[in-house]
Amino acid sequence: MKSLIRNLSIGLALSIGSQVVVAQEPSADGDGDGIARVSHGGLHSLRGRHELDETQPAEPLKPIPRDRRPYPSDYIFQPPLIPHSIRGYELSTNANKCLSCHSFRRSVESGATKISVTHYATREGRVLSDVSPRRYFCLQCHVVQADADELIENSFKPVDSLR
Amino acid sequence: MKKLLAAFWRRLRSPSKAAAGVVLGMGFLGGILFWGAFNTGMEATNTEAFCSGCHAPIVAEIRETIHYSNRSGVRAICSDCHVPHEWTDKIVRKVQASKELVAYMLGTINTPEKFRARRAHLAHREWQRMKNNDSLECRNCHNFAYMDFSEQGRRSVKQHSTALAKGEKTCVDCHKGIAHRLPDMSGIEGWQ
Amino acid sequence: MSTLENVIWHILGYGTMPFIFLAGFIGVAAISLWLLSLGADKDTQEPDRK
Repeated sequence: MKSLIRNLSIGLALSIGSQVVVAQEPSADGDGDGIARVSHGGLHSLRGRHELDETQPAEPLKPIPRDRRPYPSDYIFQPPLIPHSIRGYELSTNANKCLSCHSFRRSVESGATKISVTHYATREGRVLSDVSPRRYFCLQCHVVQADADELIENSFKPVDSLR
Repeated sequence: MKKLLAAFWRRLRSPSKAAAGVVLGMGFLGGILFWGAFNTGMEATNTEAFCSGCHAPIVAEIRETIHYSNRSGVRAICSDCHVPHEWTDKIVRKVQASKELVAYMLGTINTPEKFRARRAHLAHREWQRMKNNDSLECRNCHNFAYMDFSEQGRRSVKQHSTALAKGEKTCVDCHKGIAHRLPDMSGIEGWQ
Repeated sequence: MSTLENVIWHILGYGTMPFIFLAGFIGVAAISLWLLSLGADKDTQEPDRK
C-alpha cells in the first residue's frame, strides 16, 4: 500500500513536471491568434511562390495597344488575333460593332480585313446569304492581345508556310 | 385677388418716398438674385441625379463607357450631350421637356418591355437631332480643328481625315453607342 | 423630330423667354415694394416728418 502511494505520487509529480517542461517549447502559433501556421513549402505557380493562406498583391493590368498592324498567323485556321483595342465595342443581338468594319459590305470603305467566307456556312456546310449565327459572336474565337511578356518562355515557331 | 392686383398696380404707378438710389439699387440687386436663382434652378435639372430620377436604367448604362470613367478623369454627364449649351437653345429644350413630363404621367416607358420597344425610336430622335446640329454637343469638348492626328491610332486617323474633315459626316454618324447601349441596328447605315 | 415639331418647340421656347423676364420683374417688384412698405413707403402718417 505504501509503495503504491509512493509510486503514484512520483508518477503524478513527473507528469505535471514534464508538462511544465513541454510548455517551454516554441509553439507553431507565431502571431498568437490561436491558429498554428505550418509551412508545407507554399504554392509554386506562374504567380510565383506563395503560402496558401496569404493574400498577395494584385498584378497590374496589362495595357492593350490601341492600334497595330495585323498579326501574322501562327497556325493554319487560327482565328486572326485582334490587333486593336475593342473597348466599348458592343457585340450583342442588337448590334455587332465588329461587322460594321469587317463585313464584306463595309470593308470597302473601312479598309479592314474582310471576315472569312467560312463565316457564311452552317455546321453542315450549307452556305447562307449572310453571316451564320454560329459565327456571329466574334469574341468567342477572336481575342485581343495585351502588351505583355510570355507567361512561359518558349521557342514556338510557326510552320514554314506561314512565316 | 382683383383688389390685390389693383393695389399692386397702384403702388407701381405711384412715386416712392424712398430715394431713387434705394429703389434702383433694390431693382438691380433683385434682378441679379432672380437671374442667379433661375439659372441655378435650371442647372439643377441638368444634373445626373435629376435625370436618374426617371431615366435610371439609361444612366446606369453609361457606367461601362469611356465617357464615365477613363484615364484622365475628364467626363461627360447627361446634360453635356443632351442639353444644348447656349441659353436660348437650352430654354427651347427645357420647354420641350414638358413632353417628357406628359410621357411620365402617361407611363409611356415605365416598364423595361415598353422601354425596349420604344428604344429604337428614342435613339433615332437623338441621332437625328445631333446630325442636324452637326454634333454640336460632341464638338463642345472634342474640337476637330485641334485633333492631333499624330496622337491618334491608325484607324482613327483614317476615319477622321476623310469624311469628317470634308464635312460629309458628323461625329454621331459613326460614334453611335458611345455612351449607351444600342437598339436594334438592322437597317442603319454604316452598321453591318 | 419632324420639321413641324421642331418649329413648334422653337416658337414655344422663344415665346416663354419674355414670360420668364416678366415673371422675374413682377417677383422682384413685389418683394421690393413690400420691403419699401416696411421702411420709406409706410401707409400710416410718419411721426417724424420734417
